[in-house]
Amino acid sequence: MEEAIVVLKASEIVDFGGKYVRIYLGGEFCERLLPSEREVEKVVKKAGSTHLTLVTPYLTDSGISRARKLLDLLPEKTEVVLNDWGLLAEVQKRNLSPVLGRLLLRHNRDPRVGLIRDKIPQACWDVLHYSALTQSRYKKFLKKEGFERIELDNTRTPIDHGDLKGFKVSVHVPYVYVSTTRQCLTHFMDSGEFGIRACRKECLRKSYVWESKEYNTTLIQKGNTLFYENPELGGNILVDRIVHHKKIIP
Amino acid sequence: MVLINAPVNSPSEVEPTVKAGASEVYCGLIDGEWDRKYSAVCAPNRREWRESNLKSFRELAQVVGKAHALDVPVSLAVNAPYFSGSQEKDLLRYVKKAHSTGVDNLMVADIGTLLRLSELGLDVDVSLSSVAGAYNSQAISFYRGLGVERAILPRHLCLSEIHSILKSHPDFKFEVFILFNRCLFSDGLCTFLHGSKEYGLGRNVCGRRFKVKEMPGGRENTLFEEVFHSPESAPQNFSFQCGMCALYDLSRWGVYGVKVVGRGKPFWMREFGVRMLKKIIDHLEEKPSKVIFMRDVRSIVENTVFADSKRPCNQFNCFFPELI
Repeated sequence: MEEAIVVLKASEIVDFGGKYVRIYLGGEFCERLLPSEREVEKVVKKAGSTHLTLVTPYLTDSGISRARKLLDLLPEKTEVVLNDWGLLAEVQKRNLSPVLGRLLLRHNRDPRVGLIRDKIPQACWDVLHYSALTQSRYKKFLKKEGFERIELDNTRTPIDHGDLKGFKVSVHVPYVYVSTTRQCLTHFMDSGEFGIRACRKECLRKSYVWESKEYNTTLIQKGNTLFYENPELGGNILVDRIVHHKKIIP
Repeated sequence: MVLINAPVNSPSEVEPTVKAGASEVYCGLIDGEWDRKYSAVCAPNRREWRESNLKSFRELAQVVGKAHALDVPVSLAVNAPYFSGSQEKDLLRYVKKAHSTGVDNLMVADIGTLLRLSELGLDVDVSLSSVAGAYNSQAISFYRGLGVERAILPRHLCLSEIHSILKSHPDFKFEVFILFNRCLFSDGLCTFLHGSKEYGLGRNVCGRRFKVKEMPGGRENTLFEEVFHSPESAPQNFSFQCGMCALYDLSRWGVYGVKVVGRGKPFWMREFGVRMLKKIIDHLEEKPSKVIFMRDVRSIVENTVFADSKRPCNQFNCFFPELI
């Protein structure tokens, strides 16, 4: 089992005592946290023999332009986690390896889903715990487009992705992404300003927890995204890589 | 002229919606067979409430008949964020039955479904739903490669970002949301359950009260509660947003249509919204300056929809808060 760690900058790469053989650089949820070109160069240098995966979020046109410049710095075949279909052609053009990110893998992640299992029709339950990857057409399409790896969330209710033969599979622990927004709630809660605004990267300093007696799970708000925590790995035999988040990167 | 695409929830709503100014209508449908097998929780579209949907293909055929008699096309939302392999046969049945009613357009978000539709080669247009989450020009190119003929842009884009996408695809039809729910989360990337109230889960997460604590430290932050849950501000801030003063720019940039959200809203509200929108689009024909147009639109909106609450346009009730 390969173990990887997620970082936002080169200074976070320390002596990991041989535990992590791969660095994931970047966040999946906010284009404002795309690393600078200089940071990518530094990480490529500092990572040495440790493998590198560049992580990209969902993107606007301006984010695509910035991401393009980062792709130019990567050696061929470097893995790039895609969370936006708009970057796929750029990755293919540069002979990099596209990885299907968590945002492009559609399935239900609501932590309450297990509570209604006995109340809903069986066919509905099937849909709620299957992902889009159970469609053979979709898998075939991913293979045709060059995807060899898929990133999964470690959901509390296990998700059935069907037969993933031909794909390698990573699982992210311990934070499960549930929802995201470009109207950054952390900026709002910090400044009172709402909408898509210039931010002060408040997400790097603070996070929020959402609690309710009527809700079965504590939600964690980091930046523009809500997560819940599930550190227990479910023993998914398909997984060949664990991606560790020491802190949540929005 | 910018077209208005407005929702209908029953055949009887078609004529008054068109009379109010809609150039196109759209709807969702959970027929009995789908409902019995999957329930509304796994609706074929992202409005997983029965009251936001037609109940039968017969009703859909009536909607299509009435709309076509008025020379107005009909779109059907088949925009669930994803379908599973287990739904393939039922989805095929659903799409073929919808097609047989003469519906003009299907709004789709799921890639597997787009691929399937392109294999089927049905004589029906396919729009990319906002639920697909195409936030940039290259994502639009990607989906155009899968056969979509127009796109509804996601709610959470600034005007400058919309402009950039429109400039990159001058030959393509784009729709932009303009009235009612802007949603707290990005609809295509939100994986919370909708519509599970009847199974005891209560409200959606975005409409539910939480105690929010800042970490580190544990200090309570009540801003979310004050803005989205207090009785005086919640109704507007949560589900009554407007972006109509942006029509000056959107129209100049060549946006094809604007979309009125709100399949779950009472009919009088939707009809009123369409009428107001039509009046505002007609005002554009008089070629006012941008300053005058925006002033006039805000005056109309603040004295009608926002009049009761005595709150003028603000960052919470605006689709494009950067304008405030």
